[in-house]
This record gives sequence, structure tokens and C-alpha cells, in this order.
Amino acid sequence: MQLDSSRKADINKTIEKISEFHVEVEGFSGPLDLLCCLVESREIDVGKINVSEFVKIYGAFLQSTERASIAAIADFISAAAGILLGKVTSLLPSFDDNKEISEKDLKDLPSEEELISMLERYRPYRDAARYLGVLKKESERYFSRPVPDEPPLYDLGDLFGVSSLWWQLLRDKQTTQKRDKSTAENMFMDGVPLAVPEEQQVENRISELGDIIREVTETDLKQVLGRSPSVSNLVVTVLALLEMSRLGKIRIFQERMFGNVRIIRDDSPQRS
Amino acid sequence: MSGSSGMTPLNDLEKVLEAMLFVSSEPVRIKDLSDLLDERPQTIENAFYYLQKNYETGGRGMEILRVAGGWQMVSHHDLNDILENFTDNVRRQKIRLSKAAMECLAVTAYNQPVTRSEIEEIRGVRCERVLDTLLSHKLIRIAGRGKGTGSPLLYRTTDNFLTLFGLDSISDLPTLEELDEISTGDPDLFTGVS
Repeated sequence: MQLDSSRKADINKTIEKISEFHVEVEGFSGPLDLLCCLVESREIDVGKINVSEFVKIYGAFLQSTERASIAAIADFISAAAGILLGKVTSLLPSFDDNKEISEKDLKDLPSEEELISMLERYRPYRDAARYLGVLKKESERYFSRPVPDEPPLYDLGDLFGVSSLWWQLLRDKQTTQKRDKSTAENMFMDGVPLAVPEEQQVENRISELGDIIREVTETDLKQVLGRSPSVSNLVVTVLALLEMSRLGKIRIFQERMFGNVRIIRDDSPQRS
Repeated sequence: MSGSSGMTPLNDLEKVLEAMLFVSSEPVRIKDLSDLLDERPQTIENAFYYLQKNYETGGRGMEILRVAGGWQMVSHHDLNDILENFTDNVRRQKIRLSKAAMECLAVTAYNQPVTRSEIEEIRGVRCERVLDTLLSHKLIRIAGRGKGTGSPLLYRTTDNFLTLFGLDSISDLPTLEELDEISTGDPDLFTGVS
């Protein structure tokens, strides 16, 4: 069959285009031939090349060129098959040609007889699994009443039974509450003071501070609080001092911000 | 009624058994019924066979099967396609099992009680996850511990296994030798079956 010169030129152009087909995959960008060469020499990790993506790119490329020779496509298929083979090979354990296989490695490998024996032992179970598959398929043609997944029903009997149960539960609850209450009252908690209302705490503190101030005339907040004052003690003491100041029992001074507070007994006549 | 449905009238025991099969979602066991109804096991067994025959010849939408050591009322096998499209309940009864799961089940069924390492030795691959799947489907159960090093767990198949595969008891399975003969005689026997 004779081809006219323009058609020949078209085909040659297409072949040139295909030979210039550039691949861009992870870690590589360049002509297809070079990619195959690098894969064969194991300079590129073939496992990282997505062959389906690669074929898709080539398909799009062919579409853009509109024409392609069978030889060029065959070359591509051959190259893609080579890459695929490389992927498969990379999944299999490889022995380095330069490295001699140690005797231990050889010992660990099952012998041919052992492998045959293992397969012979396994084969009947493979058949049994397939037989079970037949049974399952047959059995799946029948359906039974499904196991109900509703909440369980509780048989409580008649109304009298329910009311008796209710009164019993109520009596139990009341008995438990009474016991808990008496236990809490009688329980002695070592070192844990009983909760005292805030007003009472401030009144108690006023009384204590009154005793102190009667003896020393002048003192300060640090001395009153002691070495390790708690936050609650500080709050109660400050509230007590303010109240005592308001009642005219003491005078309080603070020389500078965050400084110590001087507490002086107020001997002036009491305000009404 | 009985004349129009093609079924012969049932006696009192048969009626009771039929009703029990109807309400039960699991196979009904002869021994349980014998205690409950105060009847001899053989009498109950005969009544079930009569019911089974009656349903077979009556042209009904239900069948009565002997499965997992008991009796169960199930839908007629010809109706499975219609029923699958009718309700999700029946679709949920189908359990999908991988090839590995089927092989593990086969090894367990034929060697029970069996340890995990024995199964792995036969199959040549690890099967921890597969066993977990089978346990979750209640197709196998832990049946104590072996006497070997580390007292490994022993596995057995369950009644659910028998029900799923339509077996009355584990002895209904052909022996491995029989299976070998069957598959050698007809290589295509199991073709297309997972």
C-alpha cells in the first residue's frame, strides 16, 4: 500500500512526538526511555510509580496527538509492562548477588519436600473451605425469624405486685437515707473542721483579734496571720479588721501598696 | 381451611410445636421441649417430621428444617429473591466471609478443639484477625486452654456455625478424604464458589 507524502510526513511527526513523550511522575520528569532505563538500573524506586496514572497520562497524550503508529504504542506497552514487572519484582524478597546466602538463611527456608508436604496438608482444608462455601450459599436461600433487637420486656405481674414493689423500694430508700444521715452525724473526721458559716467565722476572728489587741496595743497583719496563712484565713482576718475598724475598735494603716498593714488599738471614745 | 391449603389437620402436640417454631428465632431443641411438654423425645421428633412433611406437601411459603441439633421454621428456598427485596431483616442474616475466614473455619471445624498456632501451621499464614472476626460473628468460641507451652486458647465451632451452613451437627460434614475424592473426581464441583 502506497502512502502519499503528506500522510507519511504526518506519521513521522507523530512518531517524533511520541518519542518525545515526557513523563512526570513522583520523583521523575523526563522522557519515557530514560525513566525505563532508571527503573531497570534501580536508580528510581519503581514502587513509587503509579502505573495507572502513567497510562492515563499517555492516553491523554495520544488523544492530543490524534494519530499514533502501532509500533510506537507497542513500544509504550512494552515500557509500561517493564515498569509493572519491576514493581512486581520489587515486592518479592531479593538476594544480593554479591552477598552469599548464609547457611542459617538456608536452614530457615523450608525444603522442597517440606513445602510439598505443607501444601498437601493445606489442600484438603482449601477444598473444605470451598465446600463450606457451597453449603453457605445453599443455606442463604432460607431466612428465619430475626432475633429481636427491641428492649427486653420486664414481667412485673399485676397492679398489686407493682404497688407492693414500689412501697418496698420506698421503704428501702427511706431506711438507707436515715442510716446515711445518722452515719454522717456520728462520723468523726480527724483534722477536718466542720463547715462554719462565713459570718460566724468573721465574728470568731473579731473576738480573737480583740484579745490580741487588748494585750499589745499595736501589731500588724503579718503577725496576726502567722507564718503560713491560708487564703480563707486572710480573707476572714481582713473582713474582721475592717469590721473592727468600722466599729472604732482599731485603726489600720498601710504605708505603701502591698505593704504590711499596721493595726493599732483605738483608745479614743467608742462611736455609737 | 385445611382442605383449601392442602394441609392435613394437626393434632394438639403438632399445633403446639408449629406455634413454637413460629415464635422462635433460634432452632428449637427436642430436649428442651421434652422437658417443657412432658413428652418423650421420640414423640416430639416424630411430630416434627410429620410437620416437615406436611409443609413440604402443603405448598406453603415456609419450610421446617432440622438444623444445629434442633428444628427451625424458615422461609421457602424458592422465595429468597423476593424476600431479599422485601425487608432488610433478611439481608442482615447474610454474613460475608473472606476466603481466609472460610479456611480458618474449615480448619477449626475439622480439628476442633484447635489452637491458633495449629491453624496457622496448616494455612501457613497468621490468622489472629480472622479469628477475631469469626469470634465476633459467634461462628467460633473459645473452648478452654490447651496443655502446650503457654496454655494457648482452644477454639471450637458454635451452633451459629451449624445454622449458617445449614448443618444439623458437625458430623454432617464429609471427611477430608471424602472431600478429596469428590474434588479429584470432579475438579469443577466447587467452581465459582468462594
